[in-house]
Amino acid sequence: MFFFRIDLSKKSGLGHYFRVKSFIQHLKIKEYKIIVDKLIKSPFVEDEKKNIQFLYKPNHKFINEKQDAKNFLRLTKCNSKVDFVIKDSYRLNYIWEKTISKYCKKIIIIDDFPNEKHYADYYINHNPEFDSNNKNHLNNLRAKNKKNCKFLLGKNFALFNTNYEKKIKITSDFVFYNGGSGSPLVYEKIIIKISKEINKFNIILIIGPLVKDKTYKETVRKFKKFKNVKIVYHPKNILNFLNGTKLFISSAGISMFESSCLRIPTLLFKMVKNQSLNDHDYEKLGHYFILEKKDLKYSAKIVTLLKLMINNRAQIIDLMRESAPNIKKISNNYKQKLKF
Amino acid sequence: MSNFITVDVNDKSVNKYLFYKNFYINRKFSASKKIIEKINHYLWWFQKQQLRKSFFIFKNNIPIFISTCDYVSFKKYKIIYSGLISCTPETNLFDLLKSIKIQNDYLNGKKNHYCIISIDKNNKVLMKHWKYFGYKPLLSSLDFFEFCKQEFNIKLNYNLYYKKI
Repeated sequence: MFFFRIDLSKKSGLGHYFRVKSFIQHLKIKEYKIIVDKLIKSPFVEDEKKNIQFLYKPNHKFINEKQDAKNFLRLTKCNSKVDFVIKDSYRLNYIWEKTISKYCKKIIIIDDFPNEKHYADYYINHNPEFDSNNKNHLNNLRAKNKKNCKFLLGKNFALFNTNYEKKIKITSDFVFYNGGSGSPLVYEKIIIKISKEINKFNIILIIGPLVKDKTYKETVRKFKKFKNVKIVYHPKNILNFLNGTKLFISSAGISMFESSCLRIPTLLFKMVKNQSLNDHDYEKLGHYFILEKKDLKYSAKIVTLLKLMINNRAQIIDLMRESAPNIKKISNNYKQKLKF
Repeated sequence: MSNFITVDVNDKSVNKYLFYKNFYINRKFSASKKIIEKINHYLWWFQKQQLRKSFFIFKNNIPIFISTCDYVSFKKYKIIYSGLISCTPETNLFDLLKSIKIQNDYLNGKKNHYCIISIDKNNKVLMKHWKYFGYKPLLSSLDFFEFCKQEFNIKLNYNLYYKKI
């Protein structure tokens, strides 16, 4: 049995969930449980109902790593001879991993912050900065991990959603997305400006599955009179929207792998701390146009940039040609490295 | 013996180009001394850079300069306005002169063009060397003097020089 312990909440977003789902898919894992803190309202959870377990009762919450590990072991009844634990959580590190490792066969961790101390048998970090097999990075990771830990690094181990119905293409000029839990209203001024353009662009604004209902209602109210703005509420999959759009505007989260894989010209915004890669690292995925969150205030300039990017789509797609992650290659890499 | 080669600038250079342009050494001798914001750079890239012919000058596989050439026409004149962007925070005189020579070799192949350069009056090195590359001062009596001043946004502390190929 495989037990996944992940962060899944409005605050932490959907990234961890998508990563473990991708992991499950690459390794064709049949029997697994995904352990999250609490019940959360989302179409994803509905679909996964039989595989999702909750660690805390409604009136209880996360206290510390040690307590979380105890609760996890009580719930899963992990067996050190047969069970694997995969952890993708920003709150749980060395203490949790060391406690759990005594009760499972192998502990695998999926991480974004290479400077944290860990106790892993396998360490996965799909940050593209690790692509170059930089020895300094590797030595730094080795120093912070269990002896004999194996490292699965870079875009060749990228974990992102690749499941979608290829025949379905939802066409548009622009798709705006601010991750699973980010407020779509960060794009408000830009969308209003671009929707008033003479060309009458066809715009899709995706409301992530963990966006609050209050924000959704506010978004609907704000764009009510704009007939060319379609609001998509909590889609199970954004790939069909990406596949049919001319330009994708998004936070630089997991969706940057998805748009890279589909070779969709993309303007990325670094919205949070874990999206602060160097330009060079985004370029490894074929993304050459990356702005900061603070740049959203230049709405008129961004509208001009979006129009220029649409006009120069062919050359932007060309830039992505060599860099797009190859799903087959990623699956093979996982199968080779993780032989259970 | 140092090995110098040139490589065309393409869209993959968009972010590196800005990184180099924002070096103090480049801002010090350019019309605007301010750090260029990424959004402005991207707009410029799509609107202007594509009209420009730029190439990297590599020394021993390390970029040392970007040579830039803007092509414009005025009346019967075909004009190239050329410049250099340093790819290192500090430059040495030998690399600079070698890069000017490489750029000149490129320009010398452009027949029937007027090549224009602008030099900051405070740039003592270049102020002493323009004549060795075949340039002459661009005087206000010349037909395209005013046009060049406006087109290339030349400030008062700059002198213009030209040569006919």
